[in-house]
Amino acid sequence: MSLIKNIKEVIDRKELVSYLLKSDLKIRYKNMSLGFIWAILDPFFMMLIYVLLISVIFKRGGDQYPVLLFAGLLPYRWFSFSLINSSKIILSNANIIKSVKFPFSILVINEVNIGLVNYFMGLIVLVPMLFIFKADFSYNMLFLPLIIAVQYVFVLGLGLIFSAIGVYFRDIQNILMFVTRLILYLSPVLYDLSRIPEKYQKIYLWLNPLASLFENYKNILVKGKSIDYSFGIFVLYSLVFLLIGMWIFNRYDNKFSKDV
Amino acid sequence: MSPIIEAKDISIKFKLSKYRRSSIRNLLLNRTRKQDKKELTALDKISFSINKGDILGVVGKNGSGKSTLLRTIAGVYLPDGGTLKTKGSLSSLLSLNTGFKNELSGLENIFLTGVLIGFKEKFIKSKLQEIIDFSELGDFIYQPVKNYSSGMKSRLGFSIAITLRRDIMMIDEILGVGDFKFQKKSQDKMIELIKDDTTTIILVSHDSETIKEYTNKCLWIDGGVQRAFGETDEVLEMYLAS
Repeated sequence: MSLIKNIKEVIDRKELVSYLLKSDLKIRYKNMSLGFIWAILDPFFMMLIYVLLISVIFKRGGDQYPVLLFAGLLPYRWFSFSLINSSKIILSNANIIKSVKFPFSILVINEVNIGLVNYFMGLIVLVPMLFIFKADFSYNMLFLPLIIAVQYVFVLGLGLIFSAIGVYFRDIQNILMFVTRLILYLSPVLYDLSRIPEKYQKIYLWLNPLASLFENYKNILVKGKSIDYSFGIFVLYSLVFLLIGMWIFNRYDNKFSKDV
Repeated sequence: MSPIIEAKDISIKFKLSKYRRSSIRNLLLNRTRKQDKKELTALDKISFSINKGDILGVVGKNGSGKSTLLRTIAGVYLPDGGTLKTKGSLSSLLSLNTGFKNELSGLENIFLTGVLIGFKEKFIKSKLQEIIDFSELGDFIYQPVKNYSSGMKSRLGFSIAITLRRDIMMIDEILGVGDFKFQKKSQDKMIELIKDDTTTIILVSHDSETIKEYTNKCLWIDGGVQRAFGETDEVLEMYLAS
């Protein structure tokens, strides 16, 4: 029941959530002369590098490769960005945590929100690409808000878990930078799920819930397919991670102030 | 009248392990060195109670646990022992510029800090002019805080805290903010609040003059241990004699 109390506490502080987001976005893009355009250019350049590597040098991937890649890269970047930043967020706000009592999970929520805003920025590039590379436009695209919502839950859950770990285990950020990079190569972002041998696909989807996430983004946005059963696996993982994360914060967040 | 704050035997302990912040290296080494974990008792069985309108002074040398006590009352630290009951809402001046973001303007920081310490945007808006006027920052309020001098930052922090206040106010060594004129002004404001029976204030200082001038109750802690609590004059006499 105290979990519900925690949720209520966060909802009560929704003004803080929106102020933190606004100020962080302002700070992030104020210092750069190209401003928020960087939020768009950044994933775009990352895509160009892989397109150069895969399409141009290795001559693989097919005609739609750039748009498939970009459709998968955007959610990957949201995931890795928010997770890595969450892992240090409690420590880097130590002085605030030591002076004011508020639901510290809001700091993690903020990192997930920034990642979400960056994802939306990425859509500014993705949508024209869908036209250029002749994506299969269908009603299945309407699944997008659902996938985004579930990814939000997934990233928030992991963010809460790793932000708490980050208080006691400082190396976690470096480890996560490596692990998220590994996840990129282990997930169907740079390649299609069909590259995985059929008999291993099921176990692969269970072991790597992100595989389903990226594949479903590509399916609904580019291939005109509906979400498939594997998305259920992702939903399951998301809920479990969120519950664990909330349980940790419920139990330990009043100890952070002494330990940061 | 029931007390607005009632503390009974509250204790605060810190884990003092060298390996509290682990890294992989330490984790590997730690297996053989478990006995290194120690506990530091920052506050040991502190008891006091104050009523609405009281001004409590907390005296003690540096490092005696005064700030830890404020943080505990503010709810930042959870007591490891004892009970703490507070009625009404708290605001703290623990560190004045805590939430400031250097890249943002003073104005933006007023809102961010205000919302952080729990006020609604609407209320902050209604108090905005008062805060800006008190801070004497003028047009500087639109400048990023990174361009402020440390005095200007403190003035802004003080103005926010004194304007956006709650039933119980906690002040940690802040009467020396800004230049002489601003000090005088903040002191006048403090006196005004002190005379106002509705505000309860906890004032921390190692300067006995400040305590003597402003407070009616006094708590003396030394090395985390409570030495005395009572009327300011009596406690101060013992404190100065020690």
